[in-house]
Amino acid sequence: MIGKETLNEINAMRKKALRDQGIMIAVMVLGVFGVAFSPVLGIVFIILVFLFGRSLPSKKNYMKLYKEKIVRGVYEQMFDHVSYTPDKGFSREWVEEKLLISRGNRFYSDDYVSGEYKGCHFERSDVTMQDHRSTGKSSYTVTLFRGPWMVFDLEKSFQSYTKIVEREFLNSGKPSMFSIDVNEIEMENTEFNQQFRVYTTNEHDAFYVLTPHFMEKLMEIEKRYGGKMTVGLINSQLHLLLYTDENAFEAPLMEEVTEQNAIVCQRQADIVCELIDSLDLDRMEETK
Amino acid sequence: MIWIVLVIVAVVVVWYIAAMNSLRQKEIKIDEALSGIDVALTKRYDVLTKSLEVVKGFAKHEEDILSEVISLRQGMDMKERQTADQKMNALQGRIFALAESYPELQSSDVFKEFQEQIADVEEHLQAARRAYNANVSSLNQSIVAFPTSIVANMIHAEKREFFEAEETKRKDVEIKF
Repeated sequence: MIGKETLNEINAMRKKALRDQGIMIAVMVLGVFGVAFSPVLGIVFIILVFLFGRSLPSKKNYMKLYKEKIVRGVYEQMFDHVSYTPDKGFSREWVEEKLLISRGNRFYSDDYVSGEYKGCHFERSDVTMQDHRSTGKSSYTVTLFRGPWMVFDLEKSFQSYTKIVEREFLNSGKPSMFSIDVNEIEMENTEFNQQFRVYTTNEHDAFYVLTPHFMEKLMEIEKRYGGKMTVGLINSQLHLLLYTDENAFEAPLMEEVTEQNAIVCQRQADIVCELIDSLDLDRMEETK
Repeated sequence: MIWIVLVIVAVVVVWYIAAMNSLRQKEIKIDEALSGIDVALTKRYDVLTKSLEVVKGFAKHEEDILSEVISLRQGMDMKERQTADQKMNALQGRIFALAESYPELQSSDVFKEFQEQIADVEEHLQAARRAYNANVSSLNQSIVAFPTSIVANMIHAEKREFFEAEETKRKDVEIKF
């Protein structure tokens, strides 16, 4: 799928980035020792760091090349009207107003992709939300969410908010009562109720979209991807959040880039296809 | 000793109030879901009436087959709602069957639009029915399950009837709109 020439080009860039990193580390070590012996050596250290620091963009260029050739290549092969922005993602405001994950004080989002599969428009981005706390001398970071956030346009029209979260001990997952007025509802599927909690501003809309078929498929998807999952049905869009705790599009620096990297990237893209196929998002009217 | 008795009485009173409120809330949710069914039935009635007019324009000599009295009014009981739903199912079936005999009608943009609208209102009706039945099931379970059954008896909470989705009854009926 990825040509040998492309892989060679990426790996050459990777080696350059790796070499530059090695030089930087060596210079820093020398500089630290140098400052201890003489201030002149300290100045030399600063000059060397400045000189070699200029070559550090090689890592950035390698990351960019990897994403352009591997990630974009995979998505453009599998989807229509693809738009890929490696260094941009969903905005913090946009993520927070959806009320699907808890707010933290550290936010990061990149690898934004939008496109179409079988006529269904989708968007996805890697999102990380963390809460970092310092108490005196110690500090800790809690990762509230890390994984792909996917958005699909639905054919069904509704202007309401529904959140579906997996049941957890001591965590209801209910959106803050100060943000939105939601009620917990029970669906007619006992197995689904045992696995998920459903909060909605409009009971009718929740039943309208969560058809028996849709509920069955959500349970299958949850089983297939193992990890935690949150679903949002907001203003005619389906939001699907998978807590994978990884960034699948990160370029490896220490290992050689091979065809396998494209396969890993393709597996991520396959999730979008599988979701659209299994939830019948390309033909919602037949979902009953 | 007296304190223990008082604590037990207080716990029982708090539990009774909580159980009573829960049952009343469930009854209110059922009434809300019921109004959802009425809205969905009215929408379906409107769409079917309009599509019937279109069909009549194409199949003038088959008016006898396309005349049936379907009445919707406020405050219908569950049986009346079910009857109206069944009659609409039958009418819808006849409209689609007739459309197959008239290719011009079936391929017309107006009829295609009505087909989409009919499918959508039907989905809304199904959603309303499922929401209502889920709420009824929750209330009925609370009424029979111990110990909430004691509170249900005391406040005279009664089990509610489900909105059954029956298969379309295919029978010849007189139709008038």
